[in-house]
This record gives sequence, C-alpha cells and structure tokens, in this order.
Amino acid sequence: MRGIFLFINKQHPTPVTHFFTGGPLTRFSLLLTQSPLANQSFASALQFAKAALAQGFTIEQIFLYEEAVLAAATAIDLPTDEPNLAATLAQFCQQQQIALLYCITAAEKRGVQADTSGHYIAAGLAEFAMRLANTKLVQF
Amino acid sequence: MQRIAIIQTQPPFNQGKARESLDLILALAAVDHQLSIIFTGDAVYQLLPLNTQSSQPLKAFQKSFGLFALYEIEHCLVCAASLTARGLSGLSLPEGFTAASQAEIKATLASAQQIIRC
Amino acid sequence: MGDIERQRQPKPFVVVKPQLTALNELKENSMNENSTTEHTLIVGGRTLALDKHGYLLDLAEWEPGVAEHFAQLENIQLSDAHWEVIRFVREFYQEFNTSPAVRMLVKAMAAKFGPEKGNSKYLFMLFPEGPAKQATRLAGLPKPAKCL
Repeated sequence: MRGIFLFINKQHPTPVTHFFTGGPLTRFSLLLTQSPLANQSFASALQFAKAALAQGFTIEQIFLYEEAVLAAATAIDLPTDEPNLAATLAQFCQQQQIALLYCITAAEKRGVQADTSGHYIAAGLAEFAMRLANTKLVQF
Repeated sequence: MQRIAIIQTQPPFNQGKARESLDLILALAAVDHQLSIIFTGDAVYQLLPLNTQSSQPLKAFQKSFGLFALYEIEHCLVCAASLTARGLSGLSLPEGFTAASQAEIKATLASAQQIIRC
Repeated sequence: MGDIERQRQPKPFVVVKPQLTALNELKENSMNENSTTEHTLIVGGRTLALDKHGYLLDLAEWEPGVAEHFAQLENIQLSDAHWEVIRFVREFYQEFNTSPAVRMLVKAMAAKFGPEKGNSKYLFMLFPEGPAKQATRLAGLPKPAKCL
C-alpha cells in the first residue's frame, strides 16, 4: 500500500486538450505528509512536478500537511553541504508560480513559525479541499 | 465534487496522525466531496473503546467519528480481515460503520476518483 | 463577574463582515494572537487558568460567569440567542469531543435549529469577530482549529 497513489479523474470540466497527446489537460494536486528531513518524499514530489510541467500538465497546488509542514519552518538551519529540499521546492514553486501551501493548524501544533519569506503560504485544509476539485491528486 | 476514498492505517496511539486524518476528512466533506472511509490494518484499533485514564494518556477523539453523520459521510468500511487478524471480529462497530470484505474494499477503491492514504 | 490579570485591551467593535472564505477566516483568526504570557481569570472568587490564546484551560471549570466575563472582554451584549449558541457548543463538545470550527458550527446549528439559525450570517451577527472563535471562548472550550 505504500507509495504513490495516482488515480485518473474520470470527468474533466474543461475540454482543454494536451498539446502532445490530444488528451485532456490534467491539473495535479500534490499532497505531502512526510518530513522533508526524514525521507525522499520532497525529492520525489519535486521530480514529479518537474516531469509533469515538462509534459505540458499543470499543477494546481502543492499542499503540505502533517510532518511536511516542517518545510515552512524558517528556524531550520541545515549545514550548507546537505540538500535543502524545502528551499529547492520553494524556489521551484516560485519560478513556476505554483501555489505552495501549508496547513497552519498542523504547523502551529509543531511550533512552526509562519514562513516570513512568503514562499510557503499559510492555508487551511478547507482551501486544499476546494482546490482539489477537478484535479488529480498525487500523494507523497 | 469528487468521490474520494480515505484509507486509515494508523493505530490510535499515533495520536497526531489519527487526529489529523480526521481533520482532513471533515475538511473534504465540508466542501461536499463524497467520501468513503476505510479502516484497515492497525487503524481498526481506533474503533476500540479507549481507556483515557491509563498511564498512556490519549484524547478520546473517536467521539468525533459521530461527526461523520453530520457531514453525511455514510460509507465507513472496516476491513473484516484486519479485525479477524487482531482477534477483534466480535467488536461492535460504531453506528454507521460496517465490516467489509477485501472485495468490497477493492470495489470502493476502484470507484473512487481520488485516494488518500492516512 | 470577575477580573483578568494582565488582560489585553478590549478589541474595537467590528460590524462589517465580508463573506466567509477559508482565507478570510484564516486572516481573522490570526489577527488577535495573544502573547504567551500565562493568564488567569477570577470568576466568583475562583481563580481559573487560561491557555495562551486566552481560552479557559479546563472546560470543567466553566460556569455562566465565565461567559459573562469573556463577553465583556469581547464587547458582546449577551442575549438569549447568544446563550443558546453557548449552550449548544458546550453540548457539541460533550458529544463529539471537538471544538467546532465555523463550518462545523453552521452545519450542526442547521441540523438542530434549522436554516434560520444554522447559517453564518446569523452567527456572525451574534459573534461579529468569528462565531466559532468567540462562542467557544465564551463556552469555555479549547480554541477551534484554524484550518477547518
């Protein structure tokens, strides 16, 4: 059961087609729930997002929940020779203008102070749920 | 809105996780997504009555499952095999929850547009 | 009626409430974060501990005087309609073990009292700075989750 779930949305409201395949243009929602320091989920999500954009798909949101909200903690001070996946993801989302959201309740529960750089946007589960409509969800 | 299946896999002792998946469920239901909740593996322990006075303090968040009815979440499945494997096949399930075979769970997953694993 | 030590200033009365969206609610909730100083509340001669958001720490300590005190702090003139909501959120907590956020409160009120009272306009009229936030405080419950 572990790993990525990717399920095809059977109805799509807008008849926009993919430039290459001619199929419907998919919008993705990515849900991250694991710590950016504990495993490769952030790296996988980033790879997926890059590949999706390269294929002409769009990304509606990247939402951080549970342990993943640690990425928004500005006080985390990584040694410079260790990969900073949280920063890489933030930079990528800024370049590509992808909404990078984190759950404020999950963050406060973990003592994560709001990210003042503005890369990570404080949001609620309600916003995740609303943006989820008409997208395909991929969980990391 | 979409048909979303949520797979619960965590025991109640992983309190943060169990609580946060409940919040996720309620948030999705609040914007009228159609939900199916599946309790499988150690998540079936979430359905046991808790001793909140024990030396391992836990909040009895299961009472919040009562909110499922308010949010019109009618499809709550409990994996029968998981119950049996843990000697819990006689467990009386909360109102609105039904024990389900592997085949029923499979069918629920197949008909969902999105699946979230908690 | 009681008194709060090191209390914050009463907030100005706000009447205008834009339509509720997830983000509005979020903004509204994050506006009035209290300092982390420990507060206490004295009601009916008893000293009651508050959490860092200024909510009652132990809901079992609640009495109507607590609601009256918080109402004064929040510039709310308590009416029967207010008490109905206060009693309702306390019952809600006892039944579901969770402090209702706005949407949840609207849904639950609608289920119990029908659409005239189960809508956010009615609730915002009673509690202009956020019905879930204010009603739960007056009722002695924990602060509800922001994100729902």
